Amino acid sequence: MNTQDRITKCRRPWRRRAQLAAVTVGLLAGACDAERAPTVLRVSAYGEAYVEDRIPAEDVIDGWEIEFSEFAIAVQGIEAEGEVMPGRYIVDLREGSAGGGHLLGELEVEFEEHPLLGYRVAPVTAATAIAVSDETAATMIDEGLSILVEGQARRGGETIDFRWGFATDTHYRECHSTAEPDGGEAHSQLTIHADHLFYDDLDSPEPNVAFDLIAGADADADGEVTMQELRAVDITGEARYQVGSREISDLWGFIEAQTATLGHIDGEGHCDAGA
Amino acid sequence: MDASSKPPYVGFACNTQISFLHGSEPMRLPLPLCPLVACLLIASNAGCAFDSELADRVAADVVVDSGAIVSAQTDLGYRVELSRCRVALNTVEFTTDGEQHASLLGRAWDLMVPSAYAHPGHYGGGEVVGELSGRHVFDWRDDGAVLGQATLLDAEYSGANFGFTRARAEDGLHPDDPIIGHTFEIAGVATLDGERWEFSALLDQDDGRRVVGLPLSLDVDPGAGDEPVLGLQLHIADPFEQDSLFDGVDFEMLDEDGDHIVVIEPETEAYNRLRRNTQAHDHYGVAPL
Repeated sequence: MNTQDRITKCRRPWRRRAQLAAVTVGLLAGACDAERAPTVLRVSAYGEAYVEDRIPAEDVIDGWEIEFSEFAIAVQGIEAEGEVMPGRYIVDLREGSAGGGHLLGELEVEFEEHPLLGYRVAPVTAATAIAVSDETAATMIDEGLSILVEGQARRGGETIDFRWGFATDTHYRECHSTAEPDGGEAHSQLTIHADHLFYDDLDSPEPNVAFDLIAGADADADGEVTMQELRAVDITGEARYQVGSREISDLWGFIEAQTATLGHIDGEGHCDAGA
Repeated sequence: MDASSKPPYVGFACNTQISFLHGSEPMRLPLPLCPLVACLLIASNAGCAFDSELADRVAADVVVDSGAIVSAQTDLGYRVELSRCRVALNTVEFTTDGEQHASLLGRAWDLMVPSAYAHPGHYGGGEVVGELSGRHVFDWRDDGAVLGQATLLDAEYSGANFGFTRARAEDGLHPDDPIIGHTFEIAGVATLDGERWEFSALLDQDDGRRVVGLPLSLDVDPGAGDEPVLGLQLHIADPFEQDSLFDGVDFEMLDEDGDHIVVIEPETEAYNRLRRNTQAHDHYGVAPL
């Protein structure tokens, strides 16, 4: 009898004890599988209060308050446990969802305790528009953007506007959803962490959310920081804004690299991210 | 119940209070569930044994390789030569680029916690399937100094990672050792147009900041009886792009009092550039010796 035979035969007489098996999974580390049941998995996208409301000044190390007026992302390749949702979507996460996020679609999947999901934030040539203006959706398609953010940072009497489009293509894989089946249904949320755009380190597990260096990039002092102005900021002499081994030397490149860290699952759940 | 009269895992399952599963309230498993837990644990153990059999491994000495601590020219034209290059590192990981069997082995090792192999598993830059654990404070000029013995699984290795730390007296250092509390202690001489500056720096990296993706090409075959020796290198000059560790450091500008002695102080652009350069994997390597 091989190992798998032993595992299978030990499991079957005890299906009713599956809950206990789940409790002991930390000890067992994969010894016995729980039952896989068909489940309708609803998938939504959510930008948290940081997008729907603002990033408050107390969360930003240099005291800036950051408010988005648009935070549009293009999502495609949503899959769970190997089942693919065929649609492509452009959704503006700035639109209020009362914490529920914006429903993108649903999948019928089988999973054990929690599903593994994947998705891409990447430019699209056509998409279903969700909570986004036609103008913004058209801009993203025409300009090949995966992320378009617009907003304003405020501190005291200062204001800095920004409108940045990114063409990055990030594939989030093996996202550890916390979704649990309930009456044959479950819900996973593609959670976008907007504050990462303003992180001051690409590798530190405890970076700051910061805006001073970005504000200082406003070379023409017109109150708006553009991509070109960010590109002109050399970060190689900065104490913060560390990049590890990446070939990044300007502030635009730094923020662009941060766009690959935005995607999460069900709040704080992590994914493997790559091109 | 007399645990000693039962199979070992039954005794564990039924008589051990599993407090971490129930917060501060210890949980004692009800007797009717013992056969279930015993069955699952036996199956788990069988799984571990199965995985362990796959995990053929070899021990490899990891030594300091000073071959790349050479005189190098910076982008500003200085010729730099080091007289001291001490560093504090922690665990060095060895990676493969995601072969299926290596991935399985990584998971197998995850089950072996808290063994010496507590951290193998997936990590950016490849699948971690070997490591040299522990803290290491050494001078990169001390060629051949043994850092320790790494354990390597049967795999084709394509990279390595390590973490920075801050040196401590507990690392076997004299309490007055200047590197204590710091990551690098660097000293040397920079020359330009016949002028010469002695320089030094105490660099700090965030404790745990990692350098990922050091180049390594090594095929480990436990069956061949090989006992590989791996040299951990620091490249003053990046072998790929020819930039140097001291690019952007203008020693003459830093010598404000003109005594030709320069201390690269924190919160200066020179310090930040040097610190940033030491984080790039291009300046490191692991070479089979």
